[in-house]
Amino acid sequence: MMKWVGWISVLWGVMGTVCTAIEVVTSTPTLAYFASVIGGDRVTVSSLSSGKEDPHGIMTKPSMMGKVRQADVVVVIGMECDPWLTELAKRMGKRTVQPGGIGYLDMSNTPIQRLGVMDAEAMAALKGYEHVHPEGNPHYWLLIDNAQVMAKAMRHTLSKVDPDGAPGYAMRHQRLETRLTQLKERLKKEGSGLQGRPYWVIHDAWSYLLANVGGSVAGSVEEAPGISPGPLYFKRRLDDIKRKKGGVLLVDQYGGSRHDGYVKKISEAGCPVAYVTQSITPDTPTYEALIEQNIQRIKAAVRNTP
Amino acid sequence: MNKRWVIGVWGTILTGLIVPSITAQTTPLGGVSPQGGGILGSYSNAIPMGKIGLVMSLARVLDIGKAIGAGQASLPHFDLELASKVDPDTDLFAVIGLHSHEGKSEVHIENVYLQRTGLIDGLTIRAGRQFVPFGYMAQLHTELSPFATVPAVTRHYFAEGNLAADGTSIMYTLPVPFYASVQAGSWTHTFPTPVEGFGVTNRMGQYRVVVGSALTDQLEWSGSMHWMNGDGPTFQTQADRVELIGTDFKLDWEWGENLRLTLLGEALGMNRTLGTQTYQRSGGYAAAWISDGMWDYGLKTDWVELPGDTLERVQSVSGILNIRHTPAAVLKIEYKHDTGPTPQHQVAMNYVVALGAHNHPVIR
Repeated sequence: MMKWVGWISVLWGVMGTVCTAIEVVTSTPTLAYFASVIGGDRVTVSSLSSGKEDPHGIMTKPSMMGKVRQADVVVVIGMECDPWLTELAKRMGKRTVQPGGIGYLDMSNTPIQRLGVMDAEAMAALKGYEHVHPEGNPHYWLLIDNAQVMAKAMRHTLSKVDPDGAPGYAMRHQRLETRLTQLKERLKKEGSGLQGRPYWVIHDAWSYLLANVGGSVAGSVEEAPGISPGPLYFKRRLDDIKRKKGGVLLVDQYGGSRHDGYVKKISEAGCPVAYVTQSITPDTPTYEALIEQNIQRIKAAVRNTP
Repeated sequence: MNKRWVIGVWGTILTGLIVPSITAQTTPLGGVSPQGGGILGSYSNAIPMGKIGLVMSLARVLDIGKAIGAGQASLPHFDLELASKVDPDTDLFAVIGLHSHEGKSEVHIENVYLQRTGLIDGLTIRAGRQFVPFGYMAQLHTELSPFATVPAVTRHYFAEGNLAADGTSIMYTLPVPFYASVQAGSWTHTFPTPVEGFGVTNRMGQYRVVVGSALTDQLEWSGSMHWMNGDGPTFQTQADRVELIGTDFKLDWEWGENLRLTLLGEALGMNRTLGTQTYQRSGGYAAAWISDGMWDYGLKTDWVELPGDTLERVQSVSGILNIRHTPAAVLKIEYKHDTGPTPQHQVAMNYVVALGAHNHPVIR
């Protein structure tokens, strides 16, 4: 019996020695990017989604539970985008990665800029629609100003969980901050000519992206977030698109085929389509590439406007 | 066809066709297993401090070869799902069911329990009325089941396909890099009428071990072993003791952008000692289906061995087809061929609509 206890103690000790990296689990690859860039080799980062799915509808898998159980830091988008990860952390995670713990980071609780925050009147008008986001449009990470806030929050969280690594986190955060600032400056130049146009969207995931270049969403095909349009609503929207010249339709590259019919009709009405992406994917492995590629695609579509 | 039935059918169909198109998208239904029910994850404007959702289910079984309309139909089954936060570590969940039993509408509390987390890393405690987490299928609510019908073995042991009991369960997730959890529960259940293996009132102990991991980026598996034993006063005067043992296995293989192959199998065995008599039962099911997000199609076989019973063995082979015409609704169709002593062909249909706050399934 004592021999077994001895072996288990040795094994436990070895595991403790080997597993020294800070385990960070995020709901999306974009959050994982910030963690890995700032964390460097002191962290092991896992995103529980690939970036090609709607983070709201992720089906959790056994491997995710193992990762959450081991996590030292859990990072979520918040604003009801990824409630499944918070729930997994509550049920299976260490106390420190549960809401309120030092290793739990809800990025929506940082001082990000929020677009589309609804007042009581707007909420009342949409009463009954369950996916309304009263706290605002939740795709906030696509605004570079917000990415800077998120990067800072990531650095603080990692420094609290791993104080020994704080100087390294600060240094890498500074480098990222510089790159993000440079990206903003580049977009100021590259984005000239994108302002003042009517940008149409299926689902409004792009207000923040457009805000980077001074653009804004003129209207969405959905009647409200997640709500497919009725025939009359779509006809009115199509008339708007035809009437306001020079517009571009922004469509999620990985949004599935559910809206293909609307996209086809709008495209046939002479409105060019830009296929854009919400999240970092293997094709766009950095945040900077994600934003720049999206803007380039919008610019390409703008060039095709009549 | 009485008026209530007509209203129920049309209410369900219209709700399924119209409401999802004007309400928000909800979590995909089916094809997954919750760990005791999943998570209600969307705000409701109706209850500022809580969440509320509604699941409607309409089932119909047609016997092929008989007159049109022959077969069994059920009134729509409504489940009102509620969730509320008591404190940062405690949640209250409830499922209130409205369904028809022997021609009468009944309202009953399917689940109402408190869930406490945050006491010890990886520990979840639940107390109240809940589905006993025995096996795979028996803990699923209708909207999460991948099948139009309850597998014969599950239905045979748990009359409604689930066993809602009052008690306490403790689940602990082990601190290992893969998923491993142990769970134990102590339960008391009062059956309205005696069913196979159980008396009117039973006290039960139940234990489960679940393991799962990723084999590759695309391939995940999970499996569990579970035990349950029960005894107590029965509707008969003889001492009664029941032991159930089961195992299940699930494999998910994702390939391409949006395709998934799922293999699912479960086997259950029962030993019942009633006085000096011992009865044994066993059975299981195995299914394989492909999903592309909108369509599921595949095959299922299920069987029950009934030694000493006149039927001896019940077995069927089914083709399964699920259609998710909106993210909030699923039409499940099952063509079933019973190959037992009385061969028959049936088509079973189950239409499920979920509105409002909705389950975010947690695969186990």
